[in-house]
Amino acid sequence: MAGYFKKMFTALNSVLTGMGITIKYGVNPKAEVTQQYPEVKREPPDRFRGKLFVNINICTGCTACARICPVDVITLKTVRDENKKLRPVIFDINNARCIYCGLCVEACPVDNCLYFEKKYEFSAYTKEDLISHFGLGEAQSPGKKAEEKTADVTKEQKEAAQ
Amino acid sequence: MTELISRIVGGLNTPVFLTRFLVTVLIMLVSGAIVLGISLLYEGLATYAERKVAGDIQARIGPNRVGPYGLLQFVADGVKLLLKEDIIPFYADKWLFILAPYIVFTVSFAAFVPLSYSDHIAVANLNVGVLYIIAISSVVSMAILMGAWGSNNKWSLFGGMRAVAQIVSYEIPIVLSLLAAIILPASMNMRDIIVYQGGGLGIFRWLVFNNPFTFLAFFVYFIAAIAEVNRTPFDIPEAESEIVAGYHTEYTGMRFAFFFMAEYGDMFVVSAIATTLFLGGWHLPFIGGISMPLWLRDVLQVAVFFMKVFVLIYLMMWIRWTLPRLRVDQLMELCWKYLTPIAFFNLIGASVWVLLLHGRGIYDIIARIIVH
Amino acid sequence: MSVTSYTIQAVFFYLFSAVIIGSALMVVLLRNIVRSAFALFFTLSGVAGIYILLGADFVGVTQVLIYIGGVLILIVFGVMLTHNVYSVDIFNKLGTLVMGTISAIVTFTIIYYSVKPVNWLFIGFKPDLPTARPIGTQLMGTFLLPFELASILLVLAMVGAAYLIRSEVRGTSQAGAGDPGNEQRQDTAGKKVH
Repeated sequence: MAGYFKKMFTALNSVLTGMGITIKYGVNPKAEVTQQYPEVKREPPDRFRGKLFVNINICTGCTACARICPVDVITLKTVRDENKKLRPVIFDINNARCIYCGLCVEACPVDNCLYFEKKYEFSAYTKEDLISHFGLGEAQSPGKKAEEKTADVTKEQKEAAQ
Repeated sequence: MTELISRIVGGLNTPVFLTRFLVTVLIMLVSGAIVLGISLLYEGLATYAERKVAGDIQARIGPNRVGPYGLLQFVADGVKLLLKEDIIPFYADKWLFILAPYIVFTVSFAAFVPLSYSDHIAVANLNVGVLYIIAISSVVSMAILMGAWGSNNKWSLFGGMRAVAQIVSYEIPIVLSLLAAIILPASMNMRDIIVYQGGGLGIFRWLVFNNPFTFLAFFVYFIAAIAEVNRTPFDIPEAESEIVAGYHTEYTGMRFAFFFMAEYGDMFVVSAIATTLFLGGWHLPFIGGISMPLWLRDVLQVAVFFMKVFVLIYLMMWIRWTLPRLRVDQLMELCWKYLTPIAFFNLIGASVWVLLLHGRGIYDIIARIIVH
Repeated sequence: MSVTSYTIQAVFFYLFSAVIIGSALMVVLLRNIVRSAFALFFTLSGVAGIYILLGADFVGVTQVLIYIGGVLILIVFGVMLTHNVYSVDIFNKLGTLVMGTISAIVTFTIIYYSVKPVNWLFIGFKPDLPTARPIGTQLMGTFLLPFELASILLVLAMVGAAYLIRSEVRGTSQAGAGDPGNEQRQDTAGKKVH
């Protein structure tokens, strides 16, 4: 019988304590921690993994990244230029398939060539728009298909060699 | 209403017979439409208010993008729900499935009728107002069973049966605690009850302050009413993490919106009953003695009524976002082992008080002592 | 008060009667018994409407509260838990069909011929008077004994129901002194934990 009343008073006590705590937040307008997103954006931390970026001018075309990627994200097509160095003509990164595991970044032998940027807002309307094209062929013949790009570059190399 | 009809018909000079009939029907439809419109507007804003209050308590801002301060959020929600695909499960019982949300919503909106919003504004001044609202709330349990069975889903059926058990059980503390308050004005007419609480500066003759038994009855009523409306901490039948979503698992789009809006409508109704019976209804606090034009008095009374109801609704929302959910057996234990005995003894105590003191409340006694 | 009030009343009367008769037919004739149980809901609501039309507001509201909010819920629960819900055979063998029709006709004739020759007093349209107070006074005054007998009957029914559904009496297991296994048993059987 005593337990009955004790239970009631414990229940009442706990309810009132809880309500006292919540009302402190309820009436305090400064307690809000919401960040209004498009106006206020958070700085991502240092080792944040955003989109992949490749510094195509120092890329040696070793295709280590393309070979180690578990999901086949990187498409790499290389061509020998006039100095007998491999240049990456087509270097496509499919951001839709990337799992941000970082294996390609670890595999790349060149410092600061392939790394994660801090960009995380790259939604697109089609899957094709999610593929980033870093290849050198792009700079010389924009918007053409892959074979044409390779053909263009090889043609230019042949002309330069002559 | 007959005077209104006679006045309108007397003003027109056309054959009386058919005009009276048409005018009667027109008045019925118009008052129904007004109540429906107000209740829908309230329910939309209640969903917005719930999200804002939830945000405030959880240290975040609620909706604030759609419209100024996010006020049009309920419109956006309504449009979204209207545009959703209307899925009826293949093996569901079509008639029962479709009929259930309509009945739930109709019942919740029909309970707005006997409330008296001011001295002269009421939709229908029923002589059995309080009992009518309680009876209507018990029809909701029927409609919930309809929806639960019609969904052809075991979890909906379990949720529906639990909801019905909860509603039926909690009617008893509600009725008993209301009875403890009704024996004083000795009438179930909502307006009479409010008129009984007049005088005393508009505050001191509230039934909640009348005697310690009605004071306790108010709290018992409020707790049981939260359970009746299926609000947290008693929302086992419809909680998202329990039993999928209980009896409205299979409902999509506007059908779900009907259930949802009916819950807010029910919240308004139980808060309105608490205001009417315990908190003095539409009596103006402290300024009731000042003479003012009739329309101003009515407007102020409606404002006071709604303000009190909204305070109680805020209290319900505050409780929802504070307390964890009760398990079904804890819920039933609370009702049968705690609330019902307390309500019974309360009723006996209140009856003894009224018998011995001839219906005088604490305010009357103090006033009498001061006067002598 | 005037003819038009009668017209409105007539409209509602026919409306309620249509609801009652239609749903009663559904209760009897539908194959799916859960649907017939829910059709009973409309029948009882129609009856409540007729009560209110007759000016018996308290009785009408109590009909909704007790019948729909109590009795009908139990009926629906019972129906939902039966075995064969979806196709109940409603047409019986020819013999019982004939006997059933004969008894229905006989009952209808008896009711008709007892109701028809009565000279019903036509009271006319009355303004709505509160009926709760006279009912209460009569129940506590003239009809006190039947009222108390009915409440005793209800208490007996509740006690009987509670007795029938109680579980096996546990907790009488003898707790041996110092036996560690018993503590476990006491936790589940007794209520010492909470």
